[in-house]
Amino acid sequence: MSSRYIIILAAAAIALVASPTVAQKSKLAKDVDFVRRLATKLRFIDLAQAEAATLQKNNKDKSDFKLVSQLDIEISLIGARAHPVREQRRTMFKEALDKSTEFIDRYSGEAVADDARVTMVQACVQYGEFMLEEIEVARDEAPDTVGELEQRAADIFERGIDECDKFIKANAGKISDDRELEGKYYYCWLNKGVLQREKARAVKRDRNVLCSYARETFEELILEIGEESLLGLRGYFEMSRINEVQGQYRAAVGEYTDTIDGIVTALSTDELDLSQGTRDRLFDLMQEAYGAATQALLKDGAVDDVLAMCKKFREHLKEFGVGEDPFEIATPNKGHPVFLTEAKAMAESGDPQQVAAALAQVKLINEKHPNDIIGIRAKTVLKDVMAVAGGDASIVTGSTLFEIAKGEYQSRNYETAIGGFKRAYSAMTDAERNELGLELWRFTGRCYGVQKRYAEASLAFARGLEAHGASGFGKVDATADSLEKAWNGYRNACRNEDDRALRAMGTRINSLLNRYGGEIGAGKRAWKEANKLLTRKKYTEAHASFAQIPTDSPYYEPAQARRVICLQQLDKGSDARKVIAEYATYIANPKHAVPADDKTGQAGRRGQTQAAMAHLATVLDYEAANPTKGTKDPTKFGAIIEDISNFLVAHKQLGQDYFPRAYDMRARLYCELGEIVKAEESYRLLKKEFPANIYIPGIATRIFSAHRDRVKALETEMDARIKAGNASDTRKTQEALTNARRDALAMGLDYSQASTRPKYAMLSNTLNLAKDVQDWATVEKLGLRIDELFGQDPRSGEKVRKFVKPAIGEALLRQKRFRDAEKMLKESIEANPKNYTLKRLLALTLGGWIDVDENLNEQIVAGLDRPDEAYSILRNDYRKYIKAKAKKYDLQWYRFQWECYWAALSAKDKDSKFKGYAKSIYNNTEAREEFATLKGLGPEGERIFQLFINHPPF
Amino acid sequence: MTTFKNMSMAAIVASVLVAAAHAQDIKDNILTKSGKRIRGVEVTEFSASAIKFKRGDDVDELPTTSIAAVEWFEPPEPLTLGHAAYKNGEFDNAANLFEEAAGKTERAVLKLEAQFFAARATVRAAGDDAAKAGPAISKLESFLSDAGDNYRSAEARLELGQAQLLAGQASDAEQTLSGLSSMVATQGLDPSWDVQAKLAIAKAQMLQSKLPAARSTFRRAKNAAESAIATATGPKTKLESFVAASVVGEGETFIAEKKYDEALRYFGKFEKDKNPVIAAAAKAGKGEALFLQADETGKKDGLRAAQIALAEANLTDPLGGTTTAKALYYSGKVILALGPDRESSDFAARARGYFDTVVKNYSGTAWAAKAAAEQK
Repeated sequence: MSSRYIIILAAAAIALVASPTVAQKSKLAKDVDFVRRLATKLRFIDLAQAEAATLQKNNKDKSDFKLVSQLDIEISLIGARAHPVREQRRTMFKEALDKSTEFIDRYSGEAVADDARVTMVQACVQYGEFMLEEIEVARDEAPDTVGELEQRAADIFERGIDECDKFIKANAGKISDDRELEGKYYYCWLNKGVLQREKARAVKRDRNVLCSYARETFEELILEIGEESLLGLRGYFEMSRINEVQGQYRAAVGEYTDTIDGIVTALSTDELDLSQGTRDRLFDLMQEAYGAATQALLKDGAVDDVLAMCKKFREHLKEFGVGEDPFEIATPNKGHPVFLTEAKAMAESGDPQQVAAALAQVKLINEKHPNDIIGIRAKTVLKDVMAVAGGDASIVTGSTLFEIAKGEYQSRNYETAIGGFKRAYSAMTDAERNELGLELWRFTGRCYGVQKRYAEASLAFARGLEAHGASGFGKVDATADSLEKAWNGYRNACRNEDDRALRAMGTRINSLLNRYGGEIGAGKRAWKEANKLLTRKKYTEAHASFAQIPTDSPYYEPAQARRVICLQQLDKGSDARKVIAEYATYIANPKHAVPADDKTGQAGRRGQTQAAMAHLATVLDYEAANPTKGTKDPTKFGAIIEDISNFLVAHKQLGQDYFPRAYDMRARLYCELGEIVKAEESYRLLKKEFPANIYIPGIATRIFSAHRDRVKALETEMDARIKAGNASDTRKTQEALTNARRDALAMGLDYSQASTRPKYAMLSNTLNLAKDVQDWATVEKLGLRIDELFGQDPRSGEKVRKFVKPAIGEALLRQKRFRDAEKMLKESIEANPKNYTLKRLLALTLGGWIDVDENLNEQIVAGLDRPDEAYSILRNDYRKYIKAKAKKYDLQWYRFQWECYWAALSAKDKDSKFKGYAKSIYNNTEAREEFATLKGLGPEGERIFQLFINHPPF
Repeated sequence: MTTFKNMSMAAIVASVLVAAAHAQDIKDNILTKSGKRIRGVEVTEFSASAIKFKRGDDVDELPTTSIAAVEWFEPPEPLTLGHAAYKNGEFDNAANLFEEAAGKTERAVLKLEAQFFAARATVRAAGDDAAKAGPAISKLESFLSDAGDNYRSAEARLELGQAQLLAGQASDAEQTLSGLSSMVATQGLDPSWDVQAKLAIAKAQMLQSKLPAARSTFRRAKNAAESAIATATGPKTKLESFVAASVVGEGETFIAEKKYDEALRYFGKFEKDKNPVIAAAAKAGKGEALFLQADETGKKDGLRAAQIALAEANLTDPLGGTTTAKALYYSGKVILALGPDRESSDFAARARGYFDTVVKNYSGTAWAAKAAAEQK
């Protein structure tokens, strides 16, 4: 059936009429035409669909929007025909039909509905044609669906017939003045006959009646339009096909031959002065007629006649077509079916030579028609031939069977492909096996591998290499690589079990890999092995393995960096430097330059290796100059810091992996040099660029330690100044000390946040710093964290109870949360009855104290206003501690004195006896020297002195 | 223009009469074993010795032994549907359809064909259920009675023997099958029937636990197959598969006796046979023996060796038939037996994959039903 021809004919008719009116078309109409040509001429279906959608969106309110809707339907239809996936094609056909129905219903009665009707007829013809193809396929694959498909096809044809009737009825009296309408009118008439005929083909039970209807339709059309016209000729041909539907093959062949003869006569003479377009259409029709004739002859069993007709067909192609090769001259969807029929006839002769020629021809057709019905029919012929002749190597060679099996592989029919490969190998001659054996087993292995059947895959690849690895044909490296992957896959599937049978298989496979692994394979294996050893910290063996990797392996350069790592771990610094130097020499050699057309990624690998080497060189220098144990050499720190800084700049792209370590080293060296600010800068960069990196807690600890060293140094200085009696000089030192403590505290807190498992010592030191700077909120927060992390730990629990809980208590106290403080302190005292610090804090909680700021402004803190209780604790309990631990007239003693004094003074209104106590303490402390000793004890001493002065007994 | 609605009754009648005058001729197609296809003929008779056909007034015949298949002209729809159902393993449905087809055709030769398929489908539907063998036996006996010297008779006898075996009528089965062997000699039937008869007798003997006798019969079947191969002119694939079946059968007698080590020794002898069909069958037999031994004893040491042997069998079986199906089936069973302790976590899916392949690609083998049972 030549539905495309019909469209061309109709389109030609329309075009002839349309041309005078082109100038009058609206812009939208021109856009619609343009998009239509995109689809029909250039086959840019997706683009055309997109453009149609845009036109629809932008022209919703336009009066000629219907043009756009109509276009959308046409493009759906074109898309349906062209889509490579059959299932999708079915959906799209149905969609085109539904859209047409909707359009016709909406615009029923308008002229535009008639145009839609024509499209609908077209859709029914093509969709029906498609359904007949589906039926043909289903007869073989799913015969139980044939009935349903036939009914569906019949419904489609019936719908088409109905639309033809409507169009014809509506326009019968209008065609004489309208050429365009006339073209559509006869188009519908012709296709009505076609639809009736095809419905007869689909519906067996009414076949004869429907065939009669079809014949009547065609006869009337031919009478109306004339047998000599192009349309008349087409009508006659379509009518001839009715014989075939009724199984009257000889009658059909006779009429087809008449058609062919008529066309040949027309094409052979110049008298008719046919246009090229008409000649092309006649040429196509001739091919169709040959196709129908040869098929009918074959069905009739006249194989010799088929071959004779095909011979004539080739002659006519060469006579009237362009080119030398008839297969290339033929229009693919008109002429190739003839070659397919020829191949079937040749195959059915039983003659081995003819069968082999048939196979070759069918394969060619299959390649040209991967997705359409011609391709499907070709595959069926192939299958039929193989079913009979597949076992006969004289008919079907092993290499042919191999190609067929490869086709199955490409279609993802893996089990069928495997069967085909096995049969192919069995059928191959020695020469064929030599040339194709390796490839065949490689494909077989891939089929198994895709299905995760790794044992079979391994054995297939192994077989290929064993039998044909040395043949000089095929991809040995690729096969060896596949073997390795399959073997690894199998071992993983077996959970790397140690089993005798597996060991035996492994021996076989490893032997093949060693033999056929190739340069690349050997290098890769050595690389993998060496890295495994490195992971297991077997540095000597790993180094030896890395050193084995040959220079032409892509792993050679990265292996040199790994050698350095191994030597570094083995404390063989000088050997490591030697390797670095050798590598530098290697890459400086022009012989080893990266080629300009580097396709293997060598440039990238080299860049990474260079970054690694630069980093490792700094690591070696660092470890030599700043060892964990041994003598440091600070004279080299500056140069090393510079090298590290240069590395960070030079290898920004490829050296990122090494940056954390580089930052770590630089920060530590700055700490060694006392340049804490710069160390912190490195630390901040590390945190920013590599958050949660493992080096962060370590650097934080080191910097914190540096801070603490500074704090200690200032504390020592402070003590010295106090001892020297330079009270006025201590203020600056105190300031510096406080700042140093704050800096250290900041780092300690940073560490505390950054570390997922902070160390007790670090937190505890940080806590003390917080206390020193009287950051009580931090003391409380940190203290609670320490208690949470370490309170139950037997190693540090005691320390928590002894030092951390009192700190928390004091923090609560200093934040004036007296009730919480009292509760917490009493609980802690109960748990630690000998902890006098806690008792002092409890006393302060109960009795209060006086805060003095830097400017010596006082603020009285009342506590819980129970100074009598506070006094009792201090004088009766805490005093024991002071007697044991403090010296008379040292700062701790003076502070104790003051706190007792204040408690007594505060309690005097509750009980007059406290007046006496207060006076007694005051006198004792003043010690007839007007607190001279106290005043000399630095800022703290000064503070306590002022307190006494500001609050005399009476 | 006249539409069909306006067509006169006379015209309609005329078209029917015209149609009757051009009644369709029967155009069967005959496919020979050499690949030659004879189109557009009417098969009039298809006996055990020859197929007779005509085209117009010309009558001809060919020996049955040269025929691969017949494509019947416009067979009744139930026949086509019956074949589809059979292929899908829906044997009961197939039997019903074939019987319906037999009732819908007037052609004697096609009627017999449909009757035979109905009987065969009934045998398949019985599966392993002895209780269902009775109807199958009746149908086959009825067919043989109607068919006389039909070309399907030999196959029907073979099926009858197997149905009798299933029904526990072992001695009847032996008699039927021995009769078939005799017919091959006396009536010049295709020698492959003799081989198949012997194989079926050997299976009958196995079922009766006459294992030494079974071994002897398997050896005779192998010899018969090898003789047939030596004289065959067409493709020898089927005969080669019988050789393999004989070798495997003999090995399976040891397995039936639970003499697994002997079975392994036996199969070991053939693993390197120069005939790849036998070598592959032996590897599959070895795999089966190792698996069954592990299953029987509970000692799973040999399972990995079984896995590898089965993989080898799968890979090297050039026929891609029963041996491959068996290897695939047991590969799935071995993976399940190895279980999560010794196989990776996707072991169940991989095992299922093997069973699915057998069901989908090897539906014509006995292993398909076993694999289907594993899928449930």
